[in-house]
Amino acid sequence: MAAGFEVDCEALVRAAHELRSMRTDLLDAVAPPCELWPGQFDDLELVTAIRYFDDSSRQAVHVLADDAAAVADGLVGNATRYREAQQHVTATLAGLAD
Amino acid sequence: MDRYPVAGGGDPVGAEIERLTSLRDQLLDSANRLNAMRHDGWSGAASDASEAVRYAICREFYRAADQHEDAVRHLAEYNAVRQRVLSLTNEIRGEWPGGLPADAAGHVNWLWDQLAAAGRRAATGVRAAAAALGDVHRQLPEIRSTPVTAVRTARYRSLRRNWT
Repeated sequence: MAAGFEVDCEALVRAAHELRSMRTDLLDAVAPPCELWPGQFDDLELVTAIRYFDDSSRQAVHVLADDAAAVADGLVGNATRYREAQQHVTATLAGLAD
Repeated sequence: MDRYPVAGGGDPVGAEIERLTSLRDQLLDSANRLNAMRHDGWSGAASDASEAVRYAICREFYRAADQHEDAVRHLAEYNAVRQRVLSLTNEIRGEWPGGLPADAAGHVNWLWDQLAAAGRRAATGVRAAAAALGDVHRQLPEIRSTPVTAVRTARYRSLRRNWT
């Protein structure tokens, strides 16, 4: 199959939407605040681990959200480029046929 | 001496279990959605790069979800042990309101040690989940959102050659 001609551009755009939706869902999953604070339990190691998880998971998911947005942008950009190429080829072929 | 819950209300450990469970579910759901993505007819360098990123995110999300599952299990175990220990120590103290004899005090200390061990396991599990989530980005290939600069296909070149 020749690259660039038979690409399902709509599928690329749908994948980008899916990635953006996934991005929102992940951000929502880390949004609830941690309710555990040092002093609430004497098990400081566990409280510290949970507070660390709260901070680091939030940061990690925000970085991944940026990754997902970049991939989605790339998919949409490529879909646009392929559509332009397909239109160009169609017009070229029509001109050659005249 | 009461060494455990000293402040706050509700069930903060239970709330953490819910948060971890929700994130695990979301990671699994995202991995499954990524796994189901298909880009029919798309090939070439941009497609290969996109597939490499998709595969890597998918693999790391499944791994991170597993670590969250372990953390949830250890945290739930800690919560169960905590409730049991609190109940038993209250019961023991109720039997000796004037002060614990040595063997009863030894038993109470043993119970606290069991709780501390469960707490260490839970802390290790939670830290592992945090590390796994942080590793997802580190394991990804470089992501570039710049689209392909030119689309020149064999078919296009062939058509132009034959028609001109």
